[in-house]
Amino acid sequence: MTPEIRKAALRAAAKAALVLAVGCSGGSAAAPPSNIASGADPTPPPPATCEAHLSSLAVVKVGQLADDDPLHGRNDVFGEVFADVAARQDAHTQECCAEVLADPDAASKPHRWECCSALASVGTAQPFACTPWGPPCPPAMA
Amino acid sequence: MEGITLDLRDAARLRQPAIAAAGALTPAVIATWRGRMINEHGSSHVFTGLADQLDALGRPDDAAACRTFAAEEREHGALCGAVVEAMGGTAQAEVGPPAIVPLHADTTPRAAVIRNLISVCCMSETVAVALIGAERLEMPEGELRALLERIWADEIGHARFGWRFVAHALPTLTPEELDAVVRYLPLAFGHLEAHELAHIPVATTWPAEAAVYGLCDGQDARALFFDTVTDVIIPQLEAHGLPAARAWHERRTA
Repeated sequence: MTPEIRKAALRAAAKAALVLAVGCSGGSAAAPPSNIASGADPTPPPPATCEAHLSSLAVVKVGQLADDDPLHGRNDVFGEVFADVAARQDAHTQECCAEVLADPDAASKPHRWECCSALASVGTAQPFACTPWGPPCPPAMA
Repeated sequence: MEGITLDLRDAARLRQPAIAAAGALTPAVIATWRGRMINEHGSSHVFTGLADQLDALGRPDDAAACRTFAAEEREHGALCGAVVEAMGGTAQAEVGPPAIVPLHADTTPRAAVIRNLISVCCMSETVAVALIGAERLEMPEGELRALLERIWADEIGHARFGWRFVAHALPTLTPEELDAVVRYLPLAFGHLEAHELAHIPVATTWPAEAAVYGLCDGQDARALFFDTVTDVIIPQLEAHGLPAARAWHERRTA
């Protein structure tokens, strides 16, 4: 996207917003890496549901990633990520993350940001581009 | 998930644009536009819910506008499905149950509607205007671009409706109602961010010709999303007296 296109798109949004006047977060400190050995071959999927599997993985805030982490410094990674590189790339994690993000209600599901970066970390060929247009249902206050 | 079949094949086949064959990109084009078909059609339920709330508030004209928007979203679903069919796919998908727009029982119906309109129109639709606007500019002239422009024009109308309503209604709120709106903003922003990031994948780098088919670059789209929030949505909400910058900083999803 050229800077001109980006500016034009923002101008269009600003025009829509002008009426009268002119007018992946939180989390604990860095968690220790999980117990999956780095560089190991993909392990067989554990006998756990996706929710249980993803919840079992340690997470870390993106700002706390080690310098040599493949996701370190990437501007397309947000919030929290799965701490262990091998766990991110594990086949079961990838399957579960694809399932999470394929859910039409993914925005309100746990693990969405960790899953975005997990899929990005292996360059998974997700067969779709951006699909966020239709406004989702507003959230309800707890 | 409970499966409900969304079948837009007939409507889509009547609207098929002429699009050049996409070759190896065909599966991605079909998947992308099918995702859009699902989201656009699903949004019709959101506007129908808003219309019901506005009717209950004694705002029949605004309710009628939202019913028109609901029909437009259904049409967008058919148009996106038309791209799916034109690419050799099927404009059919399993979807979840229709969304139920929250009533926000912790506040008045009037503040509840404003909460919902800020979330739907001032946030989501304003982001859609930017994202579709960029995609449109990257797309060459042709039937697909014309289809995209039609959707874009409607989204502008949806965003404007919300901004206009909020501008007129906010000054009429009691302090308690205004506080209820302010308390909602961090949740609305958190929800917006989560939705956008979940629907803007960054794992794939598309070849240059992908723009012809509406396959936008995820990293660019995410950057544009954040720019739209910080450069458009937050300043405009602040201009209406809402502490949006603080709310964005404190955004949360639950």
